[in-house]
Amino acid sequence: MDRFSKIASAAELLRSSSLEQALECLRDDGIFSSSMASWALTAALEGSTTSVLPYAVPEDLLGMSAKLVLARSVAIAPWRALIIPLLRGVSALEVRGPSTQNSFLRLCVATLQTVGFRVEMSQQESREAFLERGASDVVLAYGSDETIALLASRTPKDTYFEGRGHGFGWILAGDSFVSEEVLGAATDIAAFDQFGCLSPRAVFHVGQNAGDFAEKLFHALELHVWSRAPLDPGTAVEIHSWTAAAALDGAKVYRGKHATVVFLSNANAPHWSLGARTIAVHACTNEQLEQWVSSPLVQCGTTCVGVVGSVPSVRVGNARVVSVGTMQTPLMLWGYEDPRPPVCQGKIKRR
Amino acid sequence: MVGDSDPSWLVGPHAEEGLHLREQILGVFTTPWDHLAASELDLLFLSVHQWQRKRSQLLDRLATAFESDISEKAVDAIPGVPADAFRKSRICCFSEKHPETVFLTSGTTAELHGAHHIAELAFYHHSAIHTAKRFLLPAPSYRFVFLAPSSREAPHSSMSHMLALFADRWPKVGPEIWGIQQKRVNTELLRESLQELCAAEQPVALLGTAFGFVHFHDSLPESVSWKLPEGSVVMPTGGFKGVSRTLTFEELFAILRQRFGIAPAQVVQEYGMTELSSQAYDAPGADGESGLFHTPPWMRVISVDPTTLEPLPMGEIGLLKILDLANFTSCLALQTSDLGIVQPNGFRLLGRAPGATPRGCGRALQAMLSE
Repeated sequence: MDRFSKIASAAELLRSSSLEQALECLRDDGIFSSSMASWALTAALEGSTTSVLPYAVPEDLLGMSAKLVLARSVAIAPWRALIIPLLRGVSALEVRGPSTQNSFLRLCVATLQTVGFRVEMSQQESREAFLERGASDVVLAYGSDETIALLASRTPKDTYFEGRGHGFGWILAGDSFVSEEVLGAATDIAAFDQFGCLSPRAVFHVGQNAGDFAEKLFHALELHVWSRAPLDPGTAVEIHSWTAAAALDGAKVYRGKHATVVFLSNANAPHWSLGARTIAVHACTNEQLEQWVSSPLVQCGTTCVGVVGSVPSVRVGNARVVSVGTMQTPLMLWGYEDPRPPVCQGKIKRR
Repeated sequence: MVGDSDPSWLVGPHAEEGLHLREQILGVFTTPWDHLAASELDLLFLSVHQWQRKRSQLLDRLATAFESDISEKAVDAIPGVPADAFRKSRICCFSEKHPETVFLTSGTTAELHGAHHIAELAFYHHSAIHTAKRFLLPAPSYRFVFLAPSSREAPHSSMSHMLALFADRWPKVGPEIWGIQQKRVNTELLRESLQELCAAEQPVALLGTAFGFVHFHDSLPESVSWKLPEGSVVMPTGGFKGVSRTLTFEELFAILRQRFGIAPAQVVQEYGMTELSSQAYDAPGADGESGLFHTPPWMRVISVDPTTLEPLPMGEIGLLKILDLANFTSCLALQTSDLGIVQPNGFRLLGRAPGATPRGCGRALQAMLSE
């Protein structure tokens, strides 16, 4: 079997004989509700078929050995993070994942081993020890910008390093929006409980109906999308602080069982979300929008902009600009280029 | 620092109503506790809450953000202001032109401190003294030894202010000892003082921060110990900021018993916050296990659901919300990050809600975006 068929077989195992186990892992790792876990698994595996995989990514690492360092991320992220190097042609892959919330990663590794890949999990060592132990042709890493910089510094200079940091999305809204778009925005926010690299972290509304949009968005989040997983007290406390800060700035607050939406009619600066289905809708002018999104952080960190209603055109680095409701679909689609260029060090050694 | 009792801050909108409420609250402090009817206190809590909303646009915004359908009528549903808000804004009911006392939360110099703005210290003083007399310092007099910096060295510390208040308001039988000077435990001074005080019969009140006690303990040879005179009391309070280890209450109590020769009933924990004016105290059981915290009648502790902030039935674990009439010039209701259980005769503290569980790209990204 070629590698594409093996990956497709592994995906089929996760959909069938290992389905219950996969869902349980996702619920535990991601602290997802059951319905979220089910959707997330389906979404993650959707593009893993022999008709799609051969065209997914360039095979630029044929026959190479690789080390993969994964920080804590969205629960389904390990699937894509593991198969990308395999699709690129890596023949031996060693993985060092997060110390907790790693059940789904372990299941993916075991499943890929079952179909014949040489994939191993590191045994409880530090990331530094993992990098320094033995040699590999390539090091691939996912994590925060600080983590990526640290790992790059610990990678031997003659080893190719490629690291990807965090990212975020946001929504650009205008007037003349329809209910399907409100639902689409709610879906994008609610997916992965807003902890993904594509998850919208703010709404900027240029127009007159920002308040109306905020209220409708809140109801959509409460009533029409997946339930939010139960919050741990620490996250709940952070949400209350975030809400209070918005209220002090004059926000209208909508608090519910599954989401918190704040509407700021006169914000001086963006009130970025902390995840867990919290979102600020900012009424803003074109000039304010331009000022806020021109910051280096937004220009470099934005992965995706979701669009609602009639909006001015916007360019944010290389970020995708798509209709709301489809902000999370790059997870499933191939041929998607992450707009944030990876941190690279060294060169791929050609054999 | 403002004077003790001066209502001159009560000017402007709703001042007359405020003067009336002020008199009622001051009356509560001096009324025997068993003469205070719960229903009258409930009415006072609700009245103060509504009045503060009228006086402060910020408090009104916060109350609106967190209120429920029954917040107007049910004391337990009065929305609490997250303590974090004190770091971001001036949470109070008087003009910034009026003189004030400001207590600051502790923390590193790089952090933004929470600030509690107080227009009139009478409420703080009355509450602290009457509550301490009931639960902490029942004897007529004490020799005071404080494991804390003096209020001169820490002018914005509410703890130092409270300890100085005790030394000032209890009959003077000797100078108080401040055992932390220039941010260091003065072991020599403390050893000499305790040696002298333990040879006398006057009860000693050894009060201070938990980490101050641990620092002092760590600075002593193992063999050094004292036996505090009968009637003495030891009060450790707060957490373990600035030390490399944290202890359970039982571990701390074992240290205190070893060093000071005291019985469980002589150790009293204090629950207080910079953002509050009143304190709660607990008295451990015979086995040394921490007991129930007790509050004065003008302080109400409510357990709420962490997600919805709705009041929970007694006995259920939740986040603690505190109503404090002594916070009349600032903010009546405070939402803490502490987990606890409320029971008919007090509350148990289970500790600070742990930091949010890391999920996805959340935490590092949030820190980045918040800068």
